[in-house]
Amino acid sequence: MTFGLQAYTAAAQLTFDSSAEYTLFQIDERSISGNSVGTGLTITYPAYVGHKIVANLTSPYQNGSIDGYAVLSCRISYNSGVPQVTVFVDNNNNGIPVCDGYLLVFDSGAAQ
Amino acid sequence: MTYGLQTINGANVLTIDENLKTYVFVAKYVIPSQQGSSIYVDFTCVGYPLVYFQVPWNTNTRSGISMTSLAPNGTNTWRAYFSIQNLTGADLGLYLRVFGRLDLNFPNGSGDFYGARVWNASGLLIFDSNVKMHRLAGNTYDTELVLVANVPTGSQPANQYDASTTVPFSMQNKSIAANCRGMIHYPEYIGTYTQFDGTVVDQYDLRAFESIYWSTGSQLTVARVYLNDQIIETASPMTIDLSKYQTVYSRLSVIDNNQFN
Repeated sequence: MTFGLQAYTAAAQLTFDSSAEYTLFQIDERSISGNSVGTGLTITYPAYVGHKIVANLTSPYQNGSIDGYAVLSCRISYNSGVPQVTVFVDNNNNGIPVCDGYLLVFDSGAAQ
Repeated sequence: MTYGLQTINGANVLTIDENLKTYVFVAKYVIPSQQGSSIYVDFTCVGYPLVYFQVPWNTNTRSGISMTSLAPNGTNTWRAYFSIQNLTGADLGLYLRVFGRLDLNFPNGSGDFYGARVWNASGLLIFDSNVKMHRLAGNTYDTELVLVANVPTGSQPANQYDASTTVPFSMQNKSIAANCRGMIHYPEYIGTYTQFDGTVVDQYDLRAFESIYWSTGSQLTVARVYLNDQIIETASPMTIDLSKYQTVYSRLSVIDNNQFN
């Protein structure tokens, strides 16, 4: 590397090279109430316009059964460069409860 | 930033910023290899964890795994449930890798004497060169999985229900973060008979299916597998509402296990 920061262990093992690292920075975390999602919940991140983001959605329900709980979906899109995450169910409840979820969103820093 | 430290990589992307929080590798845990739909792993993490599960690679047996839930299991402890199909007859050798917030899980840093640490203006640790920061295989590779809502037929779902995604690297020794379609129950009508008292009974075979992941070469496959079934009887015909089967969209992130051991 020409510029930047490198860190080593006492045994001279390189543990960090700022010129080669790709860090994901956390930009959002939130609980998703299944019943409040309705036809879709869209969250926008205008502060990260032009950046590619990463999203991770998990659920505390073991089965996530379609016949027990409608499963949440998660999609990423870019509206005029503004990243947005949409959480929804495909069939809009359809008489069955929607499972809750937990959403983590990261900024990759990379261009879209 | 007002003050502190920022670094950028060769692609002009930030790699340290005192104003942003990072997730780091906390620990890995063995995922039991037995077959079933209620296999779990307990682990510790302060704050909400980001978890990656390893997927079988090149077993050629339709052996796979999916994580079906992630929930708190006490103070700073969590339980992740998995469904596993193991047709190899051997240990699948799979691990769960847990990532958590650096400032919450290593508030005083790694404890090593050599390296670099950065704190923000509030005194929170935001970088420690001896803790492995969350990083994706392919650096920024992240894509969408579409798990199409196929209606099950037959007790042994065939390969036409498989859906594959080709990633720009080998899936050997990789772990993924993705949600899944969840368990599907499908009642198939068997027939009708009349009991001694004249009651007409309808019989159905209620089959349970699960969606699991495995990998071959550079392909990640999600497939529907048959779990079990039970015969149920009803006094009147069941209404099978196929509209409840839904397509599920999931984000797929992949990590290289070699970077997190």
